[in-house]
Amino acid sequence: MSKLIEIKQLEIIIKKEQHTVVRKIDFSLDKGKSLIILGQSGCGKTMTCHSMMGLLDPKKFSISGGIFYNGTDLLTLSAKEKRKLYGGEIAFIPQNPMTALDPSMKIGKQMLETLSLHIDVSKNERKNAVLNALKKSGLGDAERVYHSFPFELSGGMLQRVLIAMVLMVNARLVIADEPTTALDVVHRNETIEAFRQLRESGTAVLMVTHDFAAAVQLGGDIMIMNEGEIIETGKASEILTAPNHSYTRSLIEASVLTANIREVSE
Amino acid sequence: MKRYIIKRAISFIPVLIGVSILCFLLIAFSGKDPAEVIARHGDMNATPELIEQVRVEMGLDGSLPERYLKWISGFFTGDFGLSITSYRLISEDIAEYFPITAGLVGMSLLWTLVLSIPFALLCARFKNSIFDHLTRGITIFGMCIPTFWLGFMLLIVLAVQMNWFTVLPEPGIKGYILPSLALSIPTICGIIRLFRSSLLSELSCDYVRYAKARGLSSTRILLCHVFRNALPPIVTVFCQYLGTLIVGSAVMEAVFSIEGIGSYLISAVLSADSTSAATCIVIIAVVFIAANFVGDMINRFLCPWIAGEHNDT
Repeated sequence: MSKLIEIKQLEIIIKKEQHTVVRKIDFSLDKGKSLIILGQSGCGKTMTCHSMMGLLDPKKFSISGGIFYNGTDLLTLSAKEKRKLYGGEIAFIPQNPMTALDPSMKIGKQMLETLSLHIDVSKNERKNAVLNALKKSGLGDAERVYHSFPFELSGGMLQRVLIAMVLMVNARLVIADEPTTALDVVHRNETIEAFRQLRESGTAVLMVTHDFAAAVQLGGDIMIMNEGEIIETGKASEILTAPNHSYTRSLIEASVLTANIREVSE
Repeated sequence: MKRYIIKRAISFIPVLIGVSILCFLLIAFSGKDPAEVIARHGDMNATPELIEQVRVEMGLDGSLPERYLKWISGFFTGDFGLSITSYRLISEDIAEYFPITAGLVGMSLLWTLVLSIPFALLCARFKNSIFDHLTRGITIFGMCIPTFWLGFMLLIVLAVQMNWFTVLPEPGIKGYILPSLALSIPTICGIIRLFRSSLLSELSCDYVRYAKARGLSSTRILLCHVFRNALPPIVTVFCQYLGTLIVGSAVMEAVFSIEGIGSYLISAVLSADSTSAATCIVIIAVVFIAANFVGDMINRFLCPWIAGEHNDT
């Protein structure tokens, strides 16, 4: 039986510089599971995410290999076919919630826009669906959020709005690109908890991060990337306690050191 | 928003007072005695007594502050005094010429709106296509063309050779078509370049990438999201062009033999009619300030985050 998402021999090259940013990587993810891609900045994790979401400009990037979603190669789909999947079955949570939404359009309108594209709900029920998703994501004052512009909300609230969009469209796969980077500790914990709940409800979660603490909290599988290659894969608990690769060890040490410095400075 | 409007309106007062003082000083130190010009207009051999009598009648015998207050009060009473160019009341001249220029500038702005926005949208949508490159070449050329040359060319080709228009101004809207087109072409070209660049800058924003990830089509993203966010710089420049177009209309009015406020201002300057010239300059300044204020309001309506950024709603 095929996995929900399967990446086969994915290679991404920046055409202008002929620089390979992702080198023939393979991994897969099944429903109700989570996979965390860990690595330093520039190791190719965001590029992997963006290629899975069809966000890389084919004029600038050469993408080869296969990205199979339920057995269908996403790289071969037409723009129209991709639009049906992206934002619906395959949802994306970008790195910076503060800049992810149109600053001149109210949150409710942007959510309605996404909902009407992916879910068959009558016009009268749409608003209720949006409000329910906002409430589910932990935004108690959903009506106010619905009528707010993005600049009127905090980073944590906006992150919740993005999670609400995922909940609203009943996504089967969530790809989150460093969703905790722009958040403080409290909001980071809340976001990770939201991802855990998503996973428990059967959604597959692929999270890209360089935040070890977030990876430990979410658990599941971990994949370590360096210079476009996968260097280690396994259970989060195993890799973080007994890493095999020297690069993974140095990453963990650097992360522990950073955490200690933070602790001392606090 | 109310607080902001009041704040802005109050900030206009010193600007207008400054402009009016500068214009009044232009009248006072122009070196031409309006009383003498008017007295000699009736009688070339006017005696100093007659000139003095005219001066008293016109209220030009007071001190500078008194004369300034009398002149500035004209903007509230409608009495700016007598024009030494036309020997009519300046208010009558302005009432006659201003609507003509307003029509010309209004039509130029309409051309600008109708032509620049679709071209800029297409250039941004099909960036680096043949259409984009061709438009870039044409717009750079269009921005370099002097408007008076363009006006003459339009007259020669469309009026003299093709006979689609008459050389002398025609009554009604038809009379405005050629001058407004000639006046607006450099503006259209400038706005196409600016709006294209503004749209492309918006297209590289994070929210566009996320909109794609939400399943929105490129056309929908461009028209429903990017368009609105790319408008503020264009609205600002567009409103600034309004003042520029009024002043620039003087050249077009001369080329097309139209009697508008621009040509009236030029003839007032040439005949050293400083009162008429200063009155026209203050009116243009008021229009310019009002246009900028309206532009600001439109931007705040289009992009409420501008108000949020300045925290002055």
